[in-house]
Amino acid sequence: MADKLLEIKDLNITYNTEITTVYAVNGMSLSLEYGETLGLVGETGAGKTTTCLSVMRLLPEGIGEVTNGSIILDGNDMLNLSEDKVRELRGNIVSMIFQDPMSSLNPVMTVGDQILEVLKEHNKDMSKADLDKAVDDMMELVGIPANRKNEYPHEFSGGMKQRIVIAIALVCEPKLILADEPTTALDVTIQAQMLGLINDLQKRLNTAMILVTHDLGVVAQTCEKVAVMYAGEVIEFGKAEHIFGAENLHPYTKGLFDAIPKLDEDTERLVTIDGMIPDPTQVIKGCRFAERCKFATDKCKVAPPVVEVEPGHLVKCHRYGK
Amino acid sequence: MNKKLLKMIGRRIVQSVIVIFIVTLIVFLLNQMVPGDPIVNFLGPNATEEQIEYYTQLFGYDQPVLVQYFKWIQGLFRGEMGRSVALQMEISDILFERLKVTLSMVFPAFILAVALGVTLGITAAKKRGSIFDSVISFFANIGMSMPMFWFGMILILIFALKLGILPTSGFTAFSEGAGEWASHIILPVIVLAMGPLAQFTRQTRSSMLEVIRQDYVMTARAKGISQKAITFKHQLRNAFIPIITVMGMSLGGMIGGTVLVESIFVVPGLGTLMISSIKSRDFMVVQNGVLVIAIAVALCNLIVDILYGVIDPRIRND
Ligand SMILES: Nc1ncnc2c1ncn2[C@@H]1O[C@H](COP(=O)(O)OP(=O)(O)OP(=O)(O)O)[C@@H](O)[C@H]1O
Ligand SMILES: [Mg+2]
Repeated sequence: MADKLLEIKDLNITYNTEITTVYAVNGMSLSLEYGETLGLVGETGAGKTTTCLSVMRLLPEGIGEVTNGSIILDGNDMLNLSEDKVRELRGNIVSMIFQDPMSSLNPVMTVGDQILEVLKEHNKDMSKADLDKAVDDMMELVGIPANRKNEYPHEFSGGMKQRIVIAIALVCEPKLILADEPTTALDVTIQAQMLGLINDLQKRLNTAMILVTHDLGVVAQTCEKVAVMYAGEVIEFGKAEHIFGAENLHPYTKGLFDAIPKLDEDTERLVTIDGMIPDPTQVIKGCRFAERCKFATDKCKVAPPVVEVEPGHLVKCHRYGK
Repeated sequence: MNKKLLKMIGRRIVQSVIVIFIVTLIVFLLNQMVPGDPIVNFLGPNATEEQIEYYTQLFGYDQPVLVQYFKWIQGLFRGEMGRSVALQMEISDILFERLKVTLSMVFPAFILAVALGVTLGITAAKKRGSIFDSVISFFANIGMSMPMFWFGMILILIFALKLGILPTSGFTAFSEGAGEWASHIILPVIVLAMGPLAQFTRQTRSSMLEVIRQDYVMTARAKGISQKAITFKHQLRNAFIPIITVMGMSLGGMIGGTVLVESIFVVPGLGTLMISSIKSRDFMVVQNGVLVIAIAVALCNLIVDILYGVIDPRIRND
């Protein structure tokens, strides 16, 4: 067993469309231990989904391209594996829950068959009876009566579909789940329920998870570690307690916290971070956040160093450099 | 299958019967409005008043229109279509003889169009933007817009007149030799298949492209299953819903639309029978012919609806 479950180093990803080149991920680095939960936060367009897709090696063919860096998953060099070997890992060692669970299920296949399909693919020598039993157990585990396995997705509510999607992701007991905003498409009341379920199962099966979300509250509740992404790179990484309530934060992370509406203050309007994320079609040499940062100085014209402000808490900013 | 599906099929059968009934009524009334008389036509200009009157009574054409209609329908329930004035034969005998000839062209043409169209469509969708894709799309567009008679004449010119490897026209039954049958049927089948082939190719391509973008295809990829399983179990099954619609309409259309092809290649099928019957004002043959075509089209639609229900569980509910 490798000592780290996932190690992403200096990852660069571009999308080459007919019109332009989008630099979606720029020098991304991240690591994850076995069984750990990491919250990946950042505003829209930061490259969160792109990063997850690259771990699955599912970037859109012919458009998305990894131009630099490495991804080591459970000892496998993901970027240099053959397609057949990658298929063995997908759904088995690593699985992904996509942004919209409503449309993630095939409408013309029973939910039982959709769970069975992935289990069968990765357990070719399992008997029919064992496969069926495992599917039943998994359904019960996510809270859907197993006698509904011959029904089709349209016969289930949104929250139940989500449970099926989770069952598909977990049935092979993968070592890592990539949950890409698994609850944004759901009702607020069901959101908490779902996160509880995912968290519970993940603990039970000792699965690590990267939880992509915009919601810092969710991260505080469910994640041991946090990575903040900005314009295609991780600008802050640490344990949840480092980031929640710490002083020495990256100015962007600080801005994110200030943007959370507080119930006890009667603020006139929502606090936002001024400006917008930089144009992803442009190459930026210095700090990508400098344009919007109130602490920006001349130093920020060169790329900032990664500084360990306290053990295990990394910040990519000139403010904390010597 | 399940109860919902059976109920749906039952409902569709009732609907088809109603539609066919309405079609018979409309055709009958239209025939009454067309000027000309089959008896006069058959007996020729030298016939006497008495002769005309005698035959008109014999065939029952002197009775009120509604009585004639109900007699026809009544006969149908006994399996009788009446006699043809012009041909002096039982209409059911002629019709089914001719229908066999028509179907022996339509089925091969349809199977050719489906097999080739779906294969080309899938390949074009997979290689979207490639030269292959452009070439296929180019020919599909030509195939859809080329007039049948012109295409048929070009084929006759090349294969029958220039190269002399195929007969220009006519038909030989399969029972009289497979080789002869095939050599006569090959050009009509190609002409008949061309339009549907182009249409199926385009529909398959666009449905597949539509489905490739769907989230559930991404879910399937993330499961680690093979590309073949993704294409057939996830993409094609979903893409087939609109493809089947087009196929059903085409098959119905092909049966009714062989008139042109049969005329070009002088094939004694249902289409040429209809033309000659209209010319001789033999309206009982015409309306029975239309009935047969209407049943065939309704049958195609029924099959499409059943396939819908089998493929798409959401349809079983409404
Ligand atoms: N298929 C694609 N073709 C071209 N550009 C793309 C494609 N997919 C994503 N991008 C671009 O890559 C960048 C990163 O996108 P990504 O989807 O990874 O962001 P994200 O962090 O997941 O955002 P969100 O929170 O909105 O989901 C964006 O600028 C986006 O426009
Ligand atoms: Mg995203």
